[in-house]
Amino acid sequence: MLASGRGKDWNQLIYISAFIIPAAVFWGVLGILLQPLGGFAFVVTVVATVYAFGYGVIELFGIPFRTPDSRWQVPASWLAGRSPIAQTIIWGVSLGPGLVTRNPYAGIWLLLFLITLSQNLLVAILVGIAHGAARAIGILHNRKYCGINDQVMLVMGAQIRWRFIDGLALILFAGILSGHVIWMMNN
Amino acid sequence: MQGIQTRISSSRLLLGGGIFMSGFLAAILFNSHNNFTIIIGGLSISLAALIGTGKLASP
Repeated sequence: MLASGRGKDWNQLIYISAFIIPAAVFWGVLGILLQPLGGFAFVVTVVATVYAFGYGVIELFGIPFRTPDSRWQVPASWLAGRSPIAQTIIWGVSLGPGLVTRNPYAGIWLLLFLITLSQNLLVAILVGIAHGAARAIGILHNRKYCGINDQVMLVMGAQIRWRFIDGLALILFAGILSGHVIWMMNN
Repeated sequence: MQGIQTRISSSRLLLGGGIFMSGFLAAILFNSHNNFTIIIGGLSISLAALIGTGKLASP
């Protein structure tokens, strides 16, 4: 760390960049791959509405129903013996995009429908940047809880609250998308 | 329903119903193709940030 203290800021900026860049590339590629589905906008909107409403109700009311989720986690062998920079890059590539590793919130899969409907590559890239940045900043912020006795309970409690918030967001999208379905049927 | 731990409280029903209707009415009243893509784009970015932030809670 430099005497001025700028070293810590640079390290954090590098850490956040390691999450943002792969996430932006990943979601940008997804945006390109999903673009042809824009020709089926009505079907995509209906399916997205059903998904958002269904999982919105599940998360809002705490119904014990598992959301679509990857169980994969970064193997410890990938990190063992690697330099801090290499470990940061591995974490960034694995966690930044948000779809590869374990994911407790149903809203992440709604994003695929939404970037299909937006038909805008910039939106897809910004979705990746937003997720990657939020993920990295959250990890940096959460480090203060590492090693404390109540960490598991804190995590579980926070996760329940965030599922509720994600449920509210899904219900909002369900309302917007169902209104758009009605509009599409009349236009 | 026995054994299923749910919290179908009236407050959550009202909250969810209100949010759903707000989104529905906004889409009906202010909809056009351009408006929809702009709104969906902006809200998608917000949702992505929300999910990324929420994941700090998961191991």
